[in-house]
Amino acid sequence: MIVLHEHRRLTESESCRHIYIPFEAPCGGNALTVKFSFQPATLEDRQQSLEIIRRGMEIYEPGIRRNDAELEEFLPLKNMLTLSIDSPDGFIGAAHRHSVNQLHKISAQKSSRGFVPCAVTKGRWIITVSPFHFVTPYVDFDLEVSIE
Amino acid sequence: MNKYYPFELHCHTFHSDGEMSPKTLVNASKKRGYTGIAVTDHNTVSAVDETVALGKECGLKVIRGIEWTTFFGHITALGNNTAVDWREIDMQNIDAIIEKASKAGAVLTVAHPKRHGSPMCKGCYMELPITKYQYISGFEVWSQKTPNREGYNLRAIELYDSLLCKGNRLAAVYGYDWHREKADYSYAYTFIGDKDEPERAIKSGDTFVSAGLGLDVKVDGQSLPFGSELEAGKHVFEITVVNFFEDFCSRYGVIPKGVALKGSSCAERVAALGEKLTVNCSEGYLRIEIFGDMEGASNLTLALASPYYVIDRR
Ligand SMILES: [Zn+2]
Ligand SMILES: [Zn+2]
Repeated sequence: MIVLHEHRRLTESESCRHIYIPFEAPCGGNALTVKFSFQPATLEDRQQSLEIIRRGMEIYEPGIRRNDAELEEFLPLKNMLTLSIDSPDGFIGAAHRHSVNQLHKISAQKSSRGFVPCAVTKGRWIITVSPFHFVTPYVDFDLEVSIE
Repeated sequence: MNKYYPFELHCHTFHSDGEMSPKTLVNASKKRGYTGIAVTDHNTVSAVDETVALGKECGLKVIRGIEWTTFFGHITALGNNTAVDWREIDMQNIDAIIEKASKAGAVLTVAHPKRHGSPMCKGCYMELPITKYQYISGFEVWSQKTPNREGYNLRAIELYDSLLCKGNRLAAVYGYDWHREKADYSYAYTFIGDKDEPERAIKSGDTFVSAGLGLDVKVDGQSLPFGSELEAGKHVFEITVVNFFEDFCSRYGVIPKGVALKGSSCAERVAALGEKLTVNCSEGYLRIEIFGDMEGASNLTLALASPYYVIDRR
């Protein structure tokens, strides 16, 4: 049974902010499945990417001039959204990694990497999407949660 | 002679963005000769129970940890780190957060404060305006591979000294920030003065970071744990290095050349290894570095110890 389906476009103003998406599990179950994807994965514009890297470097390595070839080692610039899950009893973990297609399964016996095992109980759950790297003008994500 | 044990205090698994399973991490840690490690995945503790259990089976001490990975800075929290939800950390509340976490028993370390931040690595450059350093125990003066050759670590050590100058007490630690078994390599360690309760030793400042060299420091003829207090006045320091790992020095071409005394307690001084140094210490801090050559590069810091704190009661 699908209990949440959310499609959103995030704009740059939402970077560095947590987006909390609560949902109600009307009943308990054996497992909770979270499908999460986002795009675009990277910033394609090379010149713009180098400009963003250069601006960063001016803060982190003040006074050191770097040519394009040195900055290229940081390409491509990637978007990264971290997904956290809260059960009705609280935080159970996060998937902090650069994957644009994610599938997480939560159950009392075993959960996917990043999450502790947790019984799927009735009540208020929360998905948190945290935009860590936001290098494109917008990021679209798709989130589907189901209980079986 | 005080005994010190090599630890790696900053490790990731595939529960966050690392490539290693807990089993791979534990096996690789044994192979590298660590007495113990801290598992510090980004914003999750889901690898901890398994890693602790695997460590027990093979005699590797595993410290429970997490790396609070926020938009504005990274902090590792060892021990009881459940009092804080990483998502509540922001630029305004950081002092209250570290106070709450520390009072609940977490041992906190500022991670890689001067590494490149966004867009390379969000939060890897510390922007959180921490002022209550009494709730922070450790400070990563060294991060990542070849740590004694990186500009960001030199800048981290500058910041470390400026914080110590203000009277803060912080243990010097190294964080490899280990993500991969094979592609990553490191010759550096955090040596800790307690193998059973390493968090306690970090809290008391009994640590040094080193490119594999062991350190023996005698103050007035006695071994004195790093982080200890000293009375103001004249003290005799005798500093020697020991080749901790067999073959280590030959493998990496490590040649210790001398000792530097630094800090606000005395004028900076350079001396030969083993030389007895009489130092007139005033109130402040005093820390020891070993310098020398390695892997063909000269005049590198080979070891850096947490300070002694000099108190003037007169
Ligand atoms: Zn980090
Ligand atoms: Zn890390």
